[in-house]
Amino acid sequence: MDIAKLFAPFEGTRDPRPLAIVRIAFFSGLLLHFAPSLIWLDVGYGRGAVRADAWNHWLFSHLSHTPSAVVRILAIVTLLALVAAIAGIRTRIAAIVAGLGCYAFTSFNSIHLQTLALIPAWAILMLWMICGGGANAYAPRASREREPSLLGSLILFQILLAVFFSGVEKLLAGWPGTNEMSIVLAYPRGFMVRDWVAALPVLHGPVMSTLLTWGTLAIELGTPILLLVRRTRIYALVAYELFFLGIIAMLEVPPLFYFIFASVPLLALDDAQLVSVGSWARRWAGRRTSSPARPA
Amino acid sequence: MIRRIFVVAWILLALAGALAHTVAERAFGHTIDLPLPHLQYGYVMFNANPKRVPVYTYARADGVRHGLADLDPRPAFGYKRARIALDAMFSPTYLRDLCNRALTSRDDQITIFIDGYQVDVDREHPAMATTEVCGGHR
Repeated sequence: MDIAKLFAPFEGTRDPRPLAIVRIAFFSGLLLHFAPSLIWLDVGYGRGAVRADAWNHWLFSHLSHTPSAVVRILAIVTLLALVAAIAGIRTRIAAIVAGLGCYAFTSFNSIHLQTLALIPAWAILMLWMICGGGANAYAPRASREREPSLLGSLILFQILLAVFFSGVEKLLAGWPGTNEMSIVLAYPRGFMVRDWVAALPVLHGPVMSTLLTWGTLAIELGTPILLLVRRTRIYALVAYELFFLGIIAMLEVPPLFYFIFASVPLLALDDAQLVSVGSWARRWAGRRTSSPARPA
Repeated sequence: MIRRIFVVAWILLALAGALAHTVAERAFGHTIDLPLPHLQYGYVMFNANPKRVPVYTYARADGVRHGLADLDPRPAFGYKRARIALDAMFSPTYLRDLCNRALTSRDDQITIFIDGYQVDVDREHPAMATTEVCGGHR
């Protein structure tokens, strides 16, 4: 067995742009997710605030004794670190500060911050703390040099694993027989689903829920594998992106969830595919900008 | 060499975490406790969903109903109602805290309406309805 070939995706270098896009999307998602709680600090972290313990119990117990001025400073430092990471300034240090801050505040009180998206977020933050990088494009001091492959490939692995095991969890929970999709689609206005989903009768029949059930399983179990195969990658990427676009369009889920899951698969594209996707995007953007403006 | 050891360790740990919350939970009846934060919970996305769900609204003295999310000053881009509903479902004391914080004066009174829908039976009409009142010299 050729060991070097096994490790090839984690060694060598890659185009810096996909990782820079992931950096901007991921840390923007974190900022959108954490900023409201860290700006309106007293609601979740003030004296007497209702709190929930979902992550680190030691932090949950001990942070409540921290003076409020210190908590305020920690919140500001965390927010600044997130902004620095988005901008691509000292990304490893920014990831360390932002990661520790976000984890501390989520452990302090998980109400308002708890989401499934935090599980992959912790993984990405840890990888960024360890590997650093991601600022060779779309950053003030971007060198445009190729990035080491390690960070991008491990982030890609982590997210595809999460998507694949979401499918496995569904199978173990009894999908497609349990008809869980029809339960979600039946939710009333004001709970989880967007208003148009609650209002559209065609979504509440058995045909649509069966289609969406099988579609979900096919995407979650299929695309993580098909994205790794060059020949099927672009088709899998389109299906995957439509799936996550569908989720955010239909369900009230945090933007952090979408920003992570929609951006990371771009890391699967190789250099030639990036050129193809880039030129397609430029053609598409050119067509849009050159089309005549509608009269007001 | 160190990089390769790190890659193998990371991949094995991630796989162990994923299996701990799927296969291990079914095989041994409990998950294996892995201390790293990203391995603490399983990768669940709507695999099992509650059939009885609440919809929260509130009214002040004028009786006009508003979405409960309007009581929370913090924005939540694109998921404010879902966030409030889940917070209230998972933390029973949260509703009272939210209500008390939203009172604007000593005489202000807020009534929170909780309409419970049994969605596998009737998604149009609530199966139960309760209220919770805060303020108003209570």
